[in-house]
Amino acid sequence: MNYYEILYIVNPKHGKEKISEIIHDINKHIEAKKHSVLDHNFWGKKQLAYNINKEKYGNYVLLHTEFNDSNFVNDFKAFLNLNSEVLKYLIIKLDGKPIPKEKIEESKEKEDK
Amino acid sequence: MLSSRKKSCYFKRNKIHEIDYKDTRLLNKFINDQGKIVPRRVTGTSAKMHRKLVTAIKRARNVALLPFAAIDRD
Repeated sequence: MNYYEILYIVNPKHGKEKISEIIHDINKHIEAKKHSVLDHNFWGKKQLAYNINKEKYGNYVLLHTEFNDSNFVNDFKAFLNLNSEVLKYLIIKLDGKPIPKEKIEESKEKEDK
Repeated sequence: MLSSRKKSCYFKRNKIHEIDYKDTRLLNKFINDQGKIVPRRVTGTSAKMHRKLVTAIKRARNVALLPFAAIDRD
């Protein structure tokens, strides 16, 4: 049993409904194999530091998951690679149970203002 | 005559033990305007924290939170 943090970028071309559909599909793919999504955080549309597939913007989604089987990571990577709406992703194995990072983002927003 | 100012580790001063790659506000302090990682001899970070900083910056670059190289783009 391992905890993973997954950050992926969804193509910004689509409308809100299509994006939530894509996110739902990805969550469903995890849950279908009896793994669990602990936390799901939609960051919204952000400018990318460099262009990916000629796109300047991307919708970031952060997931905290718990996989029962470590082989599922490769399976999940293959799934994301096949998904043409996901521009890029990053999967990191966590040492322990993740803590919600909302506090950090809140303080960041204050500084921005 | 030349007195060198002693640099101290930013993370030690602020009691930061883990560096999150998503915290671009923090990471931006340790890259220059070209997007390069500023060397330890300039910033004065401890070796241990610098290693963590480097992995965090490289992770952030991978998901386009930070640039690999900052070139003017219009």
